[in-house]
Amino acid sequence: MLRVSIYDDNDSLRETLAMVVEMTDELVLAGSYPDAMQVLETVANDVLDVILMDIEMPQRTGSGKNLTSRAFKAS
Amino acid sequence: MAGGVLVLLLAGAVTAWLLNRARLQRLKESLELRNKIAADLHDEIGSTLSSISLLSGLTEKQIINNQPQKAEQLIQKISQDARQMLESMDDIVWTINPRNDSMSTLLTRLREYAKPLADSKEIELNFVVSPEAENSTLILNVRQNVYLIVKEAINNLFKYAQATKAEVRFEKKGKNLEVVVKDNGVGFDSNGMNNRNGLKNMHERATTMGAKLDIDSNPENGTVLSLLISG
Repeated sequence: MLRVSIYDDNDSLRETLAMVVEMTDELVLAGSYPDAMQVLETVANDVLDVILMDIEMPQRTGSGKNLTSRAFKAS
Repeated sequence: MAGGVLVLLLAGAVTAWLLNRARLQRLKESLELRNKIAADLHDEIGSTLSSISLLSGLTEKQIINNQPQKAEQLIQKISQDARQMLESMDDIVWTINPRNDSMSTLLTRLREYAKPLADSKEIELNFVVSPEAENSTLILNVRQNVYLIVKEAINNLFKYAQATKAEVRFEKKGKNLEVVVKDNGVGFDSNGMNNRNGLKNMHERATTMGAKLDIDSNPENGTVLSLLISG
């Protein structure tokens, strides 16, 4: 069973992704967050196998990749 | 004689330069508008269509696996998404349409949006607009952001405020336009998960316009949202 966390500020898409995860037998929804910046705290506290994250943050270019590498190091 | 020719040449050069500058300005505005439409379509329509696409595939799977309740849940989400997209599309198209380039069409649209909601919740809603405010002009970007901020404020009001009275006010303060949305409800927790994204969006929109957004909310006095747009 893979534990999956979702970070996306688009409410509709985030809810859909959560439904997809919940209806897939091999996946377990660990958390669903509207703010991609929460990935750092949650990764440190939860056991996660898969992160689904929206890395497109128009106001700060480059922070998407930055966030993914920091999350990877923290996990 | 030579002096006269020189003056004519100079006038010609200045005119050409001015015309060129005007042309460049129009090109720049056109480019900004294209980028803006592309961004709006991507953000609002693109992600919701992705959602519908995912949901449809999943619905098919649930039907094949004989899971009608799950399929129903998914189809309800698809309906919700489709309705949301219609509303977004409607807003985008309305904003772009040159017919709607005036404050009075903006105000009419806000009124038309808010009134049925107010009636259904039995909230007394007043729109107060000063004549100077009604006659002011806003550029496309500013107009759209003002509309969306006020629309979001009205939505929050109807969803969470539990108010009996609300007011939307447009006034000119010198060169600036001030928009106030207030209610006599129970206020809200600005850190609450529910409206975090909505509030974040409002602040982002205000920043894009170079406007000042203040939200004052407490259980005793309700909520006052004020937006100051520099003229």
